[in-house]
Amino acid sequence: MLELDQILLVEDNLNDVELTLVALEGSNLASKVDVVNDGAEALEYLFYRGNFANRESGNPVVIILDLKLPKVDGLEVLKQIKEEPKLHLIPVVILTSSNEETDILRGYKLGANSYVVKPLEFPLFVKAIKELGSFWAILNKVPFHH
Amino acid sequence: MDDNFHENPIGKPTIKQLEMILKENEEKEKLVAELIIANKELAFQNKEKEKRAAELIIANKELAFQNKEKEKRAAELVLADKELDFQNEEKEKIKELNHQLVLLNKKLEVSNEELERFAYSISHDLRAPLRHILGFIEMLKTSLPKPIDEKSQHYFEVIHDAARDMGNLIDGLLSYSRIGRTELVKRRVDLEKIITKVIDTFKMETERRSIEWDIKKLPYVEGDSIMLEIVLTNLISNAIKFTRLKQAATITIASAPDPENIDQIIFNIKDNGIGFDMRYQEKLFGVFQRLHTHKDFEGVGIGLANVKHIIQRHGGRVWAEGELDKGATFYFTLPKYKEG
Repeated sequence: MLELDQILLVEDNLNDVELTLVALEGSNLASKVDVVNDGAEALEYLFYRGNFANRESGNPVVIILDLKLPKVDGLEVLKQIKEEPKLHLIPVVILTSSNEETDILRGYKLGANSYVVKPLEFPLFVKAIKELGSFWAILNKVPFHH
Repeated sequence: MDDNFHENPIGKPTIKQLEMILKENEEKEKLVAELIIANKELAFQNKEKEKRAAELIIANKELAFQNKEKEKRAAELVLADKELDFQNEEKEKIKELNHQLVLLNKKLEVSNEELERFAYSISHDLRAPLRHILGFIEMLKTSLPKPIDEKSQHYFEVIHDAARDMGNLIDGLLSYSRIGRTELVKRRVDLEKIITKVIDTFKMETERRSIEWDIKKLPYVEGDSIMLEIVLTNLISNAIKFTRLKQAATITIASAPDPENIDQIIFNIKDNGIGFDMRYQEKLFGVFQRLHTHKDFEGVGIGLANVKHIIQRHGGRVWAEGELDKGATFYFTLPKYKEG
């Protein structure tokens, strides 16, 4: 499976999308982000279905996944990714407002590679997204042949 | 006519006649004897009958007694029956109560789940808009032509601080609800160790101040060490905060047996800080209740509410004594640790 340079951002809130892209711009990563706005769309993207049936083939280098999403929630998306042999090695970073212990635990149990709580203060938010982006999209290595 | 009478026709008894008379007499005597015997027999029989009658009377009495006993027993049986009915009713009642308890438990589980969802919702949905306000304020600042005038700068600060305060309130509420939802893991807890650790975490704030710590020897308690660390962190942090204006602060932590409950120990943390007016004692432990303005002392007013919540979940009590400008003492009770 070919590996894309793309980051897949699964985020329903457009304000959050905008703030996240602003933060990723600082690491020159914003242009590499594909955004989908709910869990169902994320699955369509990953499984080449619906609007994404004809997208350029390849897995994203990392999936940044919100938990509370319309239609299919983040944990269900995560579960389907980790159960699919063609997708299960893609690093999934949960990026959420929830710092509830149960969510963190469920996320890791389903195979999340990282869990980040969105900081409230903007400078901290920018810093977190920048570091997260450059670590998973640039520094981190994943197996080339899945 | 008989030959015997022919020999003596004028009435002189003949030998034969005499013999007959004798024989008659003998027979009469025999009859008398027999009668006597029969009489005796009758007398005997009478006595027997009397005896039997007496026996019958006794037997009758016995029967009467037995009847009474039976009646008594029957009455007892009726009572026992009633008792059984009562017991059955009680059993039914207990069954019904158990059923109600199960239902209540289910309801509680449901409301716990609801609370869980509620907390999740607060955590996720209320924080997001705040993050957006804070984010777009910063972006607005960078996109405005420079320099930003003083008034606008002030407005930016107000919006920023208000959003951050709201964030702190949400965090406070979340921490309070989390305490109610987290299961306690109870074991032996050494409060002295926790106190040392907590004091150490406040080093940065205290190193330029003069604080005399007086930590007495404290007995082990039974409780959840993570929760009790939250209690001590809040109480110690308050003591440090509210002695800030003192040249020389003294903070004492001690314990005493609880006169109201032998299984409990009273702990107290006493400071010589700004104290409080006893009139507002009740308010101290309420959620988001504050006795000071933000300008004087920071905080959202959730710390003591959390302390009360945790101590109550351990089956203990909290209270406070204070006097304005003289200091405050906070008391809490916890169960003694029992070996084995």
